[in-house]
Amino acid sequence: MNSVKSLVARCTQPSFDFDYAYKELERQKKSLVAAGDEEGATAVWGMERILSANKLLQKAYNQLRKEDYYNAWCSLDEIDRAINNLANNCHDYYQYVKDIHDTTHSLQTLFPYRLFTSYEMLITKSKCSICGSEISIRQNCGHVLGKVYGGEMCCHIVEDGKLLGFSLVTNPENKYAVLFPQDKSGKKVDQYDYSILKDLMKKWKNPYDFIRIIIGKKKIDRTLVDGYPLDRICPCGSGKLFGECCYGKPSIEITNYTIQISKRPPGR
Amino acid sequence: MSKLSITDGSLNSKDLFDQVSLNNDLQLKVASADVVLLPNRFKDEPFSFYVGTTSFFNYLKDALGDRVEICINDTDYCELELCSRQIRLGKIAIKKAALNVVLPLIIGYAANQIPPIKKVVDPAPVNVEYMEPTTISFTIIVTDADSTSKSTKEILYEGPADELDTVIPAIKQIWDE
Repeated sequence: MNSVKSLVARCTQPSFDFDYAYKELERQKKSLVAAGDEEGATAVWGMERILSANKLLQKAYNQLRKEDYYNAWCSLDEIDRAINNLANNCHDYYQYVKDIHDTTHSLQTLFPYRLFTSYEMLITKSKCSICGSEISIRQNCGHVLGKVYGGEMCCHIVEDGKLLGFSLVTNPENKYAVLFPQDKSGKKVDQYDYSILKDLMKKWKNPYDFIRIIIGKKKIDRTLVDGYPLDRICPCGSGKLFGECCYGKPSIEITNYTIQISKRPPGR
Repeated sequence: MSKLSITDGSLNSKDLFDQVSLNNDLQLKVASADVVLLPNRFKDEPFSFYVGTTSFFNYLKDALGDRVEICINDTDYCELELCSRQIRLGKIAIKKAALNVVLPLIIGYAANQIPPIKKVVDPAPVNVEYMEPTTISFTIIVTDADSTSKSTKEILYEGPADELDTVIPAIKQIWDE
């Protein structure tokens, strides 16, 4: 655990060399695997995930600063996956990335994305990433999907399949599949409103500061939305059209975000 | 929001299993099993099972051994991936006498599949479904020991996976009434 603490303390520093750290951990992992130390190899794998979470947080932060919002969103999704995989295999290490996980979830709520595409695929042949065995329903290779063996996480690699279609979903497995329209030249058009994130970035100076989102409701006078199109989604967040929702009301209750940013205590 | 419905089934277990052309050896195993995972038909494609079925099947096998089977030939097994975030167990035929044993196993399996760490934003923002807890869906077809008997029931559930431990007793209560 001391080596993990030391790693976490170092990787939050601006000058930390992630590439060197990854290479060093890979070397240690290979050595442990060769010695048959499964537990040690899993621990090193866990440290790699901790590195990834930190690197991705710094990446997402810089992407937000540059207003590269969609890529920041994808980085946050990667953090979520890395930490969930870590928690599944090295639960004791979760304490070292809990703050990053909390920050990730808080940031995700500030993004305007609500509709995603989801593919439908028929998988006719896949293999285990650990042993290479073809996945067969009755001939179990013994490797459990999502668990770590020899310092690597078991995945099923699709070798043959058929894409059946796409759906629009609000609860996607793959959050990178955000819907964007295209212009006539085929270029992606980003029509989303990132104003909350822009306001956040004016105050958020360090990726390791704590971010706490307090979500509440606030009433605004109806006159503040005079001229708001009736066929647009109501500002109250109900999902209904404005003309069918709060158009005739004297005031509108909107979702109000209060963002608290506080410095991380030294040594944490 | 969760939905639970219990309706009368229209097919007996023999009819359910005969929909799939099993080899002779498997026909006997499937007919004698207490729990059988049934395939789906999606958009006129070959019979398939939702991604995650291998994990679910192995989990049940570890608990029940030969009392559980899957209604498909090995060579015909394929998986359907739908990428909305839900644990899909598909259709499960369970003999009446085994229901009390299998339902707790389903709770246990669902608990293992939920991401270990809950999202912390509280209260969750409005209309952000990807922040909501993981959901689970399944259809349990309760069959009689007599495979030709048409007295089957279909229990369909879709809702939060972490609420299954309250839903399953409700299913048992309705079933026992």
